[in-house]
Amino acid sequence: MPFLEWKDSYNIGVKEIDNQHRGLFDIISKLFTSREYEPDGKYFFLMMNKFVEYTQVHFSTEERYMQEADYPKFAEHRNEHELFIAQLLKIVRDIENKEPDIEDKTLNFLKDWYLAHILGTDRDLEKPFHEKGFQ
Amino acid sequence: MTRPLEWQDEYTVGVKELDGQHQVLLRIINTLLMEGHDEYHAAKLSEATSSLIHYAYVHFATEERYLAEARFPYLEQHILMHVDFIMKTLELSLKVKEGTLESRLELLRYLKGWYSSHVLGIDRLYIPFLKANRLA
Repeated sequence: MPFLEWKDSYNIGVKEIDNQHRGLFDIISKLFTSREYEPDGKYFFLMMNKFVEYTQVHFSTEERYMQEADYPKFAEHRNEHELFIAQLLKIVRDIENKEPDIEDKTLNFLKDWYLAHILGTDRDLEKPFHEKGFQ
Repeated sequence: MTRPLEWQDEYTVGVKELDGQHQVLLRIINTLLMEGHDEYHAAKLSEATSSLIHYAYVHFATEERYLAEARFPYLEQHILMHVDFIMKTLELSLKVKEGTLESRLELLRYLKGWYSSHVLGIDRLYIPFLKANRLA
């Protein structure tokens, strides 16, 4: 099951955020690739922990920019972030509890999320951030 | 940079199985070092990196089993270093697929540096614990 190919068109034009989006992309790619190698899923759990940490850092960066830009849909957007973190924490617990097929379910979930949030919701940031002169 | 690594007797950690695996890792990395530069096809390099990752999983599982048995107090940190290695190697091997010489050299530099600092460095910290538990 493949993840996505990176395209520069995924960038929204703000360097710090784009780097972090690429960072999230890279960790998800690694999680996908590691499934081809790992026999018992132990490292998958540890990699997911890193993903959660990285995501939290990214969200706080992005929220800082949104506040600075007086972004009108800030509250909505932050809700999506909080929901995602809650979902991730549930997944990490499910991995710990060795729920059946949890790794593949997690990968599907992360791919759908990346498409819907990073390549969806976050596109709305492009215009207001650009108008604010962020780069 | 592409000079191969050489196994020395003093590299032993005192456990035959682990020494054997460390030597296999060294051989795989050497193959990459010797053949992984410019004329080598990126596809072949990524195939060899793939066997390295496979073997690393096998080796790390064995080593972590010994360390658990020896009640190595830094096992958790040690496992995280193994995860970092896997993640970094996966990342670099994905980059190698893009086909640039710089990406190939980056991978080779990383692997060589990792072998010296991890296998020949960090891993030595657990030797006293293996000995204390008569595993080595």
